[in-house]
Amino acid sequence: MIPHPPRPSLAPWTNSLIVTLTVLVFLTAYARTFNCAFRGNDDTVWLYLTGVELFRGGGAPLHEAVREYLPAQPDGQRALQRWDLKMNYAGNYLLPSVLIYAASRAIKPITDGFESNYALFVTLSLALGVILSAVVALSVLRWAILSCDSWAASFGTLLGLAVIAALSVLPEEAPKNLVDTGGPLQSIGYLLKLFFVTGPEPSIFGYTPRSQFLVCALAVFLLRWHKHWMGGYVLTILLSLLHQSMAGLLLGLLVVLDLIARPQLFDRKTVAVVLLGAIVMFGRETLFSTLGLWPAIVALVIVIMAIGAVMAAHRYGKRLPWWEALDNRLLGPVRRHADRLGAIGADLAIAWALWLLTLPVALVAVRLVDPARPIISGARSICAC
Amino acid sequence: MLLQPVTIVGLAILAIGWLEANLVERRWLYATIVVVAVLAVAPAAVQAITHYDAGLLRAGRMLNQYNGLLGKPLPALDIQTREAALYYAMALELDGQPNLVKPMLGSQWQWPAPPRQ
Repeated sequence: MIPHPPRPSLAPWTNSLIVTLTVLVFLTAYARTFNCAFRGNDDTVWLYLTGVELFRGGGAPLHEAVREYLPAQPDGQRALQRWDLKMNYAGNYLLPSVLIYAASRAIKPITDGFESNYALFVTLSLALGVILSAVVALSVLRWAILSCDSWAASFGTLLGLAVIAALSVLPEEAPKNLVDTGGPLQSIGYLLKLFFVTGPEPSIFGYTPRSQFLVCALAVFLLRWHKHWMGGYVLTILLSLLHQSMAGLLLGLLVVLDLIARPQLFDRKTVAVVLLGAIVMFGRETLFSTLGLWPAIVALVIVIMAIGAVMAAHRYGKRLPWWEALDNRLLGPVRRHADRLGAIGADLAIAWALWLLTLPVALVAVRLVDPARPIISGARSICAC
Repeated sequence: MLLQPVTIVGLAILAIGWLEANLVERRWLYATIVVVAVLAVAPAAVQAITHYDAGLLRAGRMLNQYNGLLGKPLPALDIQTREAALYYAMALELDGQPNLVKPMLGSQWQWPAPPRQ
């Protein structure tokens, strides 16, 4: 067989050019989504308020006054629960809150100079703040692509973002609750449709902190797919500054993916970093109490720690016959398949399998729980992930 | 939400890696990807240009409506609009304009409110 002649490689500057093109694709789709979706609704104004409260303080008596006022209103209990949920969530988006407040202080002298009203001031502060936040997220993605130093990563991210940008212009359905979609099969169909047409707000090109988190989560996976495992974990922990709850979910997902596919990753240094990140996140998390999720979270942590302890014992020579049987019959074949699929294929296959396995729980939960209770939001979030 | 970008980008990297390994001339592959990317993003670019001011105008109009609700008892509103108006009033009050929120909560509050400690 005649070997192929050596293939010409592209000049190093071409990689930077492709990454710049990727950034332009992102910014184009971001501009389109911003123009189609940016609005002064409750969530957006609340995001501005979190920034003001962070630096100015003094909001507690006002919150107390509103909490006394709401129960007497129509839908009062629901309104009160929503208010409490939002107030307990106020520290969730530390970096976006800081950026929005910083933007407002930068804009203030200009708008004051034009004797503008407060509405214009808040609109411009929010717009500049969310754009700054998106620029930070995009810089993280750009750094991750360049760290990978791989043509496939650069061109793959360019192509992937362009495909998502093309999907983003497809006409979308009005967002629904999973309960309103019909039976379980219709709900699954709706979720699969949502995979292709997400709508502007949950999109990677959206203006909310969640969208910017998705950009950075993509950077985490790019690092992992190029063997920067520790970098992926450290970045995930740092993402708690951007979106605390989603960072916790992502950290959990990464730990489960690696426990299943590549447990040899968990040396002392990695375990220490993951544990430290988990402790910091749990320490800062305020939503579990509001949603009444602490018992479930504690149970989950105990299960994961028990699995980790068993695996550590196994690695250091302690023989547990039942674990060996489980390892040989279930996890062994999964790891062999994961090795064959490579880092990308294994992560995607296991993540989709986990989503499908946990989906019935979320589908049952949204039907059993009173839709007025805030816990429904948690179940919806897990479903949507 | 998380699975969409990760899956699409992951599959794109896998496909490109496979094509790189099996095609002799990679430059055509890379050129094709750039052309496909530009074509794919073109509709979004058109909409970004034609609606260039829609987001700011929409947000500005909504916030202006909340301006009209400041400092007097709130009328009957849906939950989200009432929340937005209250957040807006709280932000304005914390930003230095006193006595905006409590008058919006009805007549049980003293007006003008006593100075805050």
